[in-house]
Amino acid sequence: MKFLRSSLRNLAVGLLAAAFLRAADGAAATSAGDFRWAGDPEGGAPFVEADPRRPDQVVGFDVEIAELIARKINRVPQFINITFTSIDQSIERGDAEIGLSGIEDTPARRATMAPTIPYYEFREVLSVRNADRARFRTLADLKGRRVGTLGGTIAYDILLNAEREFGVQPVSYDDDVHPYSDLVIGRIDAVLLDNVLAERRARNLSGFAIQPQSVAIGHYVGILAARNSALRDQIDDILRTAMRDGTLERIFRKWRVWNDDQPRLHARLLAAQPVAAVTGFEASPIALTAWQAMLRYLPSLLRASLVTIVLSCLAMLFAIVLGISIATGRVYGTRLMRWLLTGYVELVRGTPILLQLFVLYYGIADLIRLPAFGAALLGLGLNYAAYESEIYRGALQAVPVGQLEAARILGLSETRVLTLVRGPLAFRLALAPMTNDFIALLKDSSLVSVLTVFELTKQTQIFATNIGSWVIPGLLCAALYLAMSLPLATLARRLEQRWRFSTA
Amino acid sequence: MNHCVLRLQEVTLLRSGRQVLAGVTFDVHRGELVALMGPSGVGKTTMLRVIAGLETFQSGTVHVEGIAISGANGHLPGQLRDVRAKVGMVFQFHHLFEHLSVLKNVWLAPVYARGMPQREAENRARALLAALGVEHRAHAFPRELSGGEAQRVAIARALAVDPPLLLLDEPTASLDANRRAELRDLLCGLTGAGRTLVVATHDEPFARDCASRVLRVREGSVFEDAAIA
Repeated sequence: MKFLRSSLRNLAVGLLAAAFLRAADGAAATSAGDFRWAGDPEGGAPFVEADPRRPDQVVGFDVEIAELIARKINRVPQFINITFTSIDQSIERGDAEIGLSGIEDTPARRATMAPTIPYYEFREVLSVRNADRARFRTLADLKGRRVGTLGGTIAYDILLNAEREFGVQPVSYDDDVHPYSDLVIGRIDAVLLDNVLAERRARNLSGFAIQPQSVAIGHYVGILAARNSALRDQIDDILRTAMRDGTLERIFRKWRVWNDDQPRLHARLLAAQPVAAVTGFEASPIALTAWQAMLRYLPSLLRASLVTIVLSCLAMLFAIVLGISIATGRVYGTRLMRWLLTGYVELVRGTPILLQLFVLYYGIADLIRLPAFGAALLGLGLNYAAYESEIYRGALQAVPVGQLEAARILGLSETRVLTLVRGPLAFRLALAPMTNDFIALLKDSSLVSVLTVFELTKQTQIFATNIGSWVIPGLLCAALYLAMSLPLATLARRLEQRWRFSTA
Repeated sequence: MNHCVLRLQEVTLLRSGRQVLAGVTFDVHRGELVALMGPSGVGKTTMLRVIAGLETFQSGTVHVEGIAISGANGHLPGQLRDVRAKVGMVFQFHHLFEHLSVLKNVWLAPVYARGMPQREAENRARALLAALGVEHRAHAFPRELSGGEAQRVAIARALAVDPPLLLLDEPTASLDANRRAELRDLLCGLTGAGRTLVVATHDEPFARDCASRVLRVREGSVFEDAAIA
């Protein structure tokens, strides 16, 4: 018996050791010869997109540049899928060695990271609806108008500038597809983005025109961590060679983005002339101290907090009213009504809120064109109503039957029993879980940034991207969320104490 | 003979196959105070609940002031409303509305079930509370009351809608000797004013002291009906 036990133990130790060694071996195999590069396939062609024929593979000019670099340094390219706005932080962390995904050259990146030489020159261009082509030629013509772009980009900084200068209203998107569809259906009046993106959209979406005059000129670069400058220099040499021997031209022609700007850029680089990160726009000063950064971003964070709190309160109010109706229907309704309401609750609880928000804002835009705030309010409200209704249903069923019988025997109708006795008692039981849900909603409201609603988390993300660190923006953002949720929790606790009652 | 306020005829109630009431038959006349006597679990409370329309039963009939509830066709909402307008009930555990003040517990039904103007209902509620000696607790909440106070408030609440028939379930359960004497005087006062009372109790001395008739209950039926001299 003793022998059996010890041999079982030995076997287990042996198996564990073997598994560990294999895992370590596997890790070594992936890191030694691999060239890990990061990009966001959501950005799509011509940069990086999932191959329509083999969706597990990516294609695009950035993919081919990554392959070119890997080939020249005798390594195997390995693609790492990273959300566009997180690529900088991801490179800094070491998840990948280089980021290549239409990443812009900026003074901030030059100061904090090791960007490659620019390999492509783009123009920031305005797109407007065909009918507005004559009246909206420049940003100055767009006073009081909503202008969309991708958040955290040079274009977004330009719009913030134009907000101060001309009074345009910047609208920040998480992707570069929906600004154009929203432009065509009239949710916004113009889009400011790279000509590469604008031209690509113009190929499969009609109804808008690209203005010929460019607002600024920028460049795409690969970004590496500052500590990786040796590899960066090696990559710069590879890029220069590819400019000289026409490899880059071939890649860009293949993806239909070659134009007259490129040979001029390449010539300047090959002649070792300096190339400014951005021309035509004074980029924001970089290297702010923590204190300066905080002072500079605090007003916009406070404004964004206001959006968060107003949106959350209204959405919760809506969720409570609808949740009470659903719960009442499920407790008192006919079989059909109960069945339909249960279906609603299960559908809403069983699908991601992000999906619901997308469907409400973009999915049904052809039928009902909800404004962003309205869609956010409706989406959060409809979603939370399902959860609230379950709380109220449980609370209604938890009201002691003696209280209901006492009310019935006094001759009160069922409606009066519900509104005067059962409902108020249930509300007291529901208060604690409701507070919990409201705090959850406060934080879930950050999801509505996908509908261009500019709330606290989104503002924080932009703050972090601009200063290249999450520490201060993260702390400020956390403090603001706490400042909103703590008083609420305290208020709920007080009410609970006041309403505490025996259920005997 | 006085007017018959309550009549039960062959009322039978089965719960999960067990016979809780087995052909209960008795009459109660105006001004009587009838005690349903017997140990716990013999069906006294169930009888009160049947009379109040809180339980469905399988067969037999309950007449309250001429309105019939029949076990055969179940309870119709209209019938229940009519019966409840005639019956008041004081539960053993009072079941005062926990979220409302004592005063509102009392005026709630007159206003929302009988359509009495609120001011009038409030005045009546205060008068009732004063008559029962608990007017000083008008603004307290049920959780703040003693057992005896809660019972008085529960009686006031039941009387506020002025029912001809008042049912009380184990009213002495939470009272000491002094309180019990007070309750006896109170209930006697109510019958003197022409109200009819049915009290379920297993408190023999209390029943002897204040009932005009004692119905002894065993295994879900009345086996002895004795007037008290």
